[in-house]
Amino acid sequence: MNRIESTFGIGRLIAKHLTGALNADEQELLDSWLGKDIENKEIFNRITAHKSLAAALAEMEQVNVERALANVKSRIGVAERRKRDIRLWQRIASAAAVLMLLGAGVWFFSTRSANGRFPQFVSGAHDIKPGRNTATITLANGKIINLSDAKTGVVVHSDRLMYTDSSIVGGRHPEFISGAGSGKDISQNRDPGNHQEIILSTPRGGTYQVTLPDGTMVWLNAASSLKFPSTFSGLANRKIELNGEAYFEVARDKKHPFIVNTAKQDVEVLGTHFNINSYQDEPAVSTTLLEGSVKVSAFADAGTKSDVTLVPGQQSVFAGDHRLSVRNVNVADVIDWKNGKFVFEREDVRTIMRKVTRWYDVKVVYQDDVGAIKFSGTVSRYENVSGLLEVLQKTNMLHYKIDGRTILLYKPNQ
Amino acid sequence: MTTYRTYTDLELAALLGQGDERAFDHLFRKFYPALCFFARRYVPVPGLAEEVVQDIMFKLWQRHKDFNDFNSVKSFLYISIKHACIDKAESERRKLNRDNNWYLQQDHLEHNIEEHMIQSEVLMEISQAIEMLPGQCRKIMKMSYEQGMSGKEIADIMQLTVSTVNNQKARGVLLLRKALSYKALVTLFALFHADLFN
Repeated sequence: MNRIESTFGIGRLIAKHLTGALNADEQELLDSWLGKDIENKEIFNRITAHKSLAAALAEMEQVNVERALANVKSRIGVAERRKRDIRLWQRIASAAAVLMLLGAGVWFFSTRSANGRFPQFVSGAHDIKPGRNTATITLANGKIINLSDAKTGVVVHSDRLMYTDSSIVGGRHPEFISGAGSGKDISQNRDPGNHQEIILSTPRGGTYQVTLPDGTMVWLNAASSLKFPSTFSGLANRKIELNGEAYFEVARDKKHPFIVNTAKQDVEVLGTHFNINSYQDEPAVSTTLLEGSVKVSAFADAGTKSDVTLVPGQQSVFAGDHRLSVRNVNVADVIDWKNGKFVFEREDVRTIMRKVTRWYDVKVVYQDDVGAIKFSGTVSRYENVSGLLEVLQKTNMLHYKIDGRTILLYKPNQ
Repeated sequence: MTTYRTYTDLELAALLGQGDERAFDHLFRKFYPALCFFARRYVPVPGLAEEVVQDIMFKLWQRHKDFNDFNSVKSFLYISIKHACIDKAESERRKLNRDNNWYLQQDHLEHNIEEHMIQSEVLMEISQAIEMLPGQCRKIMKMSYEQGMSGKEIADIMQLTVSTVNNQKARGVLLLRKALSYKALVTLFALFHADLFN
């Protein structure tokens, strides 16, 4: 009997136990498994411990399912197209053979694939594709490197750049960071640690992940940029600059505080997971803490400074002229962009459309005043823009039209 | 897209065997997070673990004709992922020439696979059932159980009364119980009796 399949059965029983769904017979089955071996009891205790269960569910929540599915589907698409092309070629070859035999004029061939479905012809002309993994790195000497869109992240070593799968950026012509050897180096950073300033930027429609020299991981959203040194060694603080939106998982280093500088505020952290949203065209800067502890210091236009220390689940909001305010939030909503989703929580159309323009790299034109209508919902970031617009349109509170790279919004026809 | 939510696992597996892409999408969304969790027990680097799982899901699609029942799909996934993770960990170690304690001992891995699989299955069932809960109820359940928030904290964020939050939690628990009470009992019996009489 299959050992593996019985573990599926046990898993199901334990899940039922946790939700109180076990009936008498199932309880007996579970008990007999528990009684068979002391090891089983220990496994059961470990799995059902509330803390480990919550931590495991939270870990699973961090996964970007939609992007993964989009990746696998595009590989399937490529493979299917290759198969279809081969079959088509075979059909052409055999049809040609038949033609020669018949010597007749008109011939039909169907492009139906083996399981009877027609190939999908996507009318790309009237829809807009979502963003993808694309970004550039600018070195201290001014050189701009385009990062591969087949990779998801880049790792900064003190002297060179690698992708997260350990392949080298630049392939056969690796990109070196240190100034030595690159004649055009006009960098002023001639300090002993040889810190070179590096900028990672994403265009509209781009996103990328970077691992900083101390091991800190940063996910950069669209239309954002991150400035940091090639190495933190010899520096009292780990200081970096952000424009736009990013999610951070900071490596622990109690002796060297990690500080994120944005136009209006500084965030000082010790070892923690948090999200900062500081786009210039958003009314406020917000910092949301998932784990650990951060201190947010904001500089008002009047020159005054206010600070606040956040605990997990809190978000600080700062709009230039007011003080910092703090509120509790559902952190999953705030970092859903990193997990491949757009999540709107009673957000007005204008705010939603600002996110859309950054990710899809489009313009929005309001033909009627529909900007203040509020929506709540969740949509995958990896669908074409029509996916999201359809969801809004279904409420019948606004209608849309796509014209090239412009989205038009208007009131529903009477 | 919603019709697939009401299909049973058995039906989805059968559809997958016939090459139904939407069934594959649905299975992917159901399995992926739990399988990544499983893979990370063997390859602690999140990006690499995800790459392995994606590779195996792609292979699943390529070989969809070979599968016609749910258990054979899951067996294939777990075993393939385990092997691919071990290979990946090995090649990483050679590439980086490191002797980190990252790379767990072979025997340790073998010994624990049952526990890791059971844990992944439990997580998959629970998270799936949670995803199927209605909107507000689902959010409240997640905030409560995954983020450990109190009734008052949830009430504050969602601008509800504490009693509404508690009602939704109770409703959520009942719905979860209902979602997980399916009629797989006969199969379970068959599996277990065979095992007990070994």
